[in-house]
Amino acid sequence: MKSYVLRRVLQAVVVLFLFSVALRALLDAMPGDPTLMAMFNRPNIKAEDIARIERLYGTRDPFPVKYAKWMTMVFVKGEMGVSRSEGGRPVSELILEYSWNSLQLMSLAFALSLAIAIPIGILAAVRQHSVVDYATGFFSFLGISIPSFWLGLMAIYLFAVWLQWLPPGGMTTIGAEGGGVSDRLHHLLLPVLVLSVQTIAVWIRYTRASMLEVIHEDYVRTARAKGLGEGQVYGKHALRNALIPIVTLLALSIPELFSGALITETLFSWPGMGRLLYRSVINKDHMVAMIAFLILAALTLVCNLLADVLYAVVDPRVRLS
Amino acid sequence: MTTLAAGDSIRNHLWRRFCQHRLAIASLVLLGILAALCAAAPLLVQTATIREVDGVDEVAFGPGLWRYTDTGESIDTGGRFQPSSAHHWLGTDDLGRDLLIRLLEGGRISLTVGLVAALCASLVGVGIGALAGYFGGVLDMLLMRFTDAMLSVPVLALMIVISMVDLTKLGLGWLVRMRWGELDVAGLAKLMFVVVIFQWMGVARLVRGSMLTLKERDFVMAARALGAGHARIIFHHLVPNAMAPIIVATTLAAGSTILYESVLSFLGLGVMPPTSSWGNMLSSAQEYMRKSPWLAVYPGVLIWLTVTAFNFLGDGLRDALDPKHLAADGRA
Amino acid sequence: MRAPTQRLILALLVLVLSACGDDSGPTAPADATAERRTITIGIQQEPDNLHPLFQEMSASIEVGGDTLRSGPLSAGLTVRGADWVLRPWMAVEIPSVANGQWRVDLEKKTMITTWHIKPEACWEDGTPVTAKDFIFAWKVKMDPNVPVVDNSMEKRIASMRGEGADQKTLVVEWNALYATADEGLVCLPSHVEQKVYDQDPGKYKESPHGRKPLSNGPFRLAEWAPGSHVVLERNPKWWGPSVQLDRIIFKIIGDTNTMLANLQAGQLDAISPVGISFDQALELDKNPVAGFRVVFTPGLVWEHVDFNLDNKIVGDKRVRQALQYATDRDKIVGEYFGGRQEAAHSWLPPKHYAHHPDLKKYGYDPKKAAALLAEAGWKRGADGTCVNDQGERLTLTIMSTAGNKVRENIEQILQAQWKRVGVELVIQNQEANVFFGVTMRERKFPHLAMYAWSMSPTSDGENLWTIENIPSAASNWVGQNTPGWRHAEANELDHRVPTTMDKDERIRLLRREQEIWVEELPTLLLYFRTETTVVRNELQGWQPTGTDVGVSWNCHEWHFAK
Repeated sequence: MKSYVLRRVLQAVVVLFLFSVALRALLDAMPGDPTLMAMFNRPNIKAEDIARIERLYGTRDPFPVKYAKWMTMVFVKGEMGVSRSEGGRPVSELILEYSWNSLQLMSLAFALSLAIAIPIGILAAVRQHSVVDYATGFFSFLGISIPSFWLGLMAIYLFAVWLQWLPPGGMTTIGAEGGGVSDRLHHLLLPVLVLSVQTIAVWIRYTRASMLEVIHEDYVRTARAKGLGEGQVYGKHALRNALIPIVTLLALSIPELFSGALITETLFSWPGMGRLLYRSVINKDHMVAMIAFLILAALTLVCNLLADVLYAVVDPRVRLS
Repeated sequence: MTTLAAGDSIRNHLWRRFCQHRLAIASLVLLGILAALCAAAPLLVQTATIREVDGVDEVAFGPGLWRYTDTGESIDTGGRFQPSSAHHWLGTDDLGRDLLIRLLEGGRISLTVGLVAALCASLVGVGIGALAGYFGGVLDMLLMRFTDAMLSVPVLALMIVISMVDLTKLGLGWLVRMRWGELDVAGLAKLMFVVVIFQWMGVARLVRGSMLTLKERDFVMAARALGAGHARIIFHHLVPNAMAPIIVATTLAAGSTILYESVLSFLGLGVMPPTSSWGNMLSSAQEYMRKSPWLAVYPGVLIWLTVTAFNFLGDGLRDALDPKHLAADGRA
Repeated sequence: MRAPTQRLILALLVLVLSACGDDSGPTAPADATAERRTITIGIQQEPDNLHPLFQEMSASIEVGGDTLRSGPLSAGLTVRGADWVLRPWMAVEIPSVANGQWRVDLEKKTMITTWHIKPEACWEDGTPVTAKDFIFAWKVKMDPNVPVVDNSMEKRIASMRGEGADQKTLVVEWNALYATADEGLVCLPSHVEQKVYDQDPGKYKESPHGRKPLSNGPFRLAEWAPGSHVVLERNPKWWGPSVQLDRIIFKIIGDTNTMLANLQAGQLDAISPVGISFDQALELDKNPVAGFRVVFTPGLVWEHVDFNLDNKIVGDKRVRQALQYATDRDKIVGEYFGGRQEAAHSWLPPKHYAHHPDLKKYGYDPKKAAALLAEAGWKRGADGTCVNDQGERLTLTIMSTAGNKVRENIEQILQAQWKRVGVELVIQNQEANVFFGVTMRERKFPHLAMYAWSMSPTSDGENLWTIENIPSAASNWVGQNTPGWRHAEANELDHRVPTTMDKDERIRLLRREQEIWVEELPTLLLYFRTETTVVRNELQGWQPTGTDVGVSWNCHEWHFAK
């Protein structure tokens, strides 16, 4: 086991390195530069000014130089840099703040989805082929297929404009009335609901499928034959085993807690990581983009490893090679 | 209950199992109708001829069900946001064009992109997964780590980056200059490329899994004993046996491709106007939510229905083709 | 496992219900009159930087101002308001030849301007604004290690010094003639910023002044929650006319629909010019939200289509004029813009001081367009598209920024209108960064490019139409003469205007140039963009200028009527 984990970690480091090179190359290959674009709008710029700005930002350096400069700054000096498009704020500050905002949103969505999807998925599996099962299946398909931005738009118009039950975006009510926990929750409700729709749909299907696989195993039949009640059969035997793939699914979903959801955050004016990632790419803000993407990629690789290890730990039949 | 009766061909048996899945049938029918409508749309539109009579333009309409615009031109600034009428069953959009025709034209693009991209993604996925599963060892490890790496990347952001790449810099300027009537060829090509890159992983994983189990089977050993080369074994023997999950994955991929396309077009990175796709119609309609919310509802509903249909279809196919998903007693 | 899950659901339900029941409505003002001293403005972009030297977005000017253009957090030496007249603000009077504060030496081509700063002008911590603040800002702008984008004005200044015991007199010596030297100068709180700059000039861009500026304007920064809102409150040390509001809140709402939803839900008192789209404003005007009105202000943003004059098709003046005659701008303005935009007849807006009322105007005349095309060798072919003698079709490509709904629609309208005279138009849009950063800069567009220039009340033609300003590899692609217009007489006129001190003479020169320009038509004329803002009916003093000065230029005058 230890050697497996070690190997995976080493592989992950290599992957991250390659990814960082590829990302930086892609960012540089993207045409256009926001500073130069801003200069296009200024009538009095001369060639020397462009040269000066390019020298200051190192735009003309060859790629290995740029990459090496960045690597030294991050790993030798320990600085993460400043954002070019977010007003010169330190990258670390930006990422902490925005990922905290995303965390609030996504963790509530996940909690809600868990609370709803797992019981329903189990129920659908236990009562397979019943009306409950078919209805659940139907609605979960609908949930998977809906375009999230459309759902968000409709939700805002329904709940915030016509019914006026919930605020149409933003994180808090500004001023003295806002800032409290209940105010924050009030603002979280609609985006969380919109996000949850799809997650719930996917998780219901996953839970149901995994539960179904387990229910038809021999040991469940044995448990029933032994005369154990339904609760014990399902609760103690089936569920435990069915939860394994679900837990690994959850482990794989952890990175989403931090990466946020771009469209939902834009629609609800929620300043989260999804928006930061998008803006850093659009604005070629490579300081922010490199750190943010690398953190996310690292998190994903770690969670992948975690999921695989968990699987092996919990299910002795699985062998890690 | 469907049990294999004597004299029953496998195909009939599978077909009957499929038919048990009513929603899958309904989805197939729905998709068929939609595809037919989209393809037939040009035939149902009234052709317009404009003639100048005494300095004033006069429009004459030929036979057909719907009119593109009331003036016969490609846009009609005087007829924006019209409600439903005899010639405009769903009204007109922000440039006075018939909404139903635009939806069908957009459907052509969205459906084509969906299917073609899904097929391409499948091909790539089959190739990579088969190689990884069959040869195993270092190749397998490399390919699977590569797949992992691709999966670890925040999809949307990378999609955006790739969509913004300047094709002329890569020497693909000819693609940018290619014209198929009004079609935004370069945009479509980029879109398909992006979608394929993010869709092949699922298929690759499935195929690899199948390869791992199948390659130990007797018929493979027999083929090898008969002197079959690797290529023949993979493509003639193994892949056809893994078709079931491949077909299912492709169908599901078509659904998520349509979603991806709509998100990219929504962000302004996919299909460019005047070519219409459901995604960019939705994006255009955003601004008019207050005045004409229907402009946003129709494309959204269509995307939703189509993707749901593909999902149900895939599910039905899976039940029919993949025995592991049956209950132990053989019920589908 | 059931019981804990059930409890979790129950707990969530309780939280949700308590949150719902807590609020009595979208905004819960405790006191109706208390609300009326706060204004909440919806803005679509977030300011990038509140430091006057490093801002690049109009949202930053809106929220703060940059000491050249006055805003809530900064006061300039002068202020140019909604009537476009220049008035003194921090300065006692505007330097002019008449009052002796502007001395010009036409032979040596130098000038000296003297500014008297008002004795009461001070920063929010009470420190008076002195000449030192201007000198410091000038030095920083000229420092090659500081990434200031535009220091063209500062480069023309030879030296600056303060005079008087209180240092309230600023004497500026210019090494070139500069017609708009009375606009003002940038200043920074040197008593705070000098230390920051001295520590590390190369890192000055990261100065805290960008996030927490020290104000010399009617308001000061109270809170900036990134991505969410900016709160400004009344500056207790404000030295100017009395301020009638206690707080200005800028609510950052990235999506225009969410902005409208906020408006309808009563959460906003106004929407900034950087807020909703033109179509949405038009629609709001027709179907207003109760209690709000839409304000349309003629603007200075000149929307046009560049011709690439190096291309042989559009390089022919007759083709250009034909395309202009084939464009029915009255129809576009009337039907598409609800009559709310102004068709442009020159690159200078009607309110500009050098506006030429008797210019040749291009109306909609498809017959004339066809005749001009025929003259240029383009005759209608079999399928309706013009062909020339070599059998080439008249197919033109128009490029613009993707994602801009209005531009996309105008392109399609032009496509339909030009089809009538046999021109086939192909639309090809690009993302803004690419479009401006590469395509326009390096003049890589084949025939046509649609975008806009922001004019100002003091615009002339030097940057846009002189031959040196044609971007080329030699000049590192600097320059705004993207069509590539070369005209000897116009070029000469353009060079003379900025250095001509006599205003009437400038008017004469510019008018002559406009006559030449309109005949040669290096770009297709479209319209001047109207600024749209939405504001509560009770709000008084709301005066959008239509220029690049934010609508908050006179925020000290805003108040709610009873």
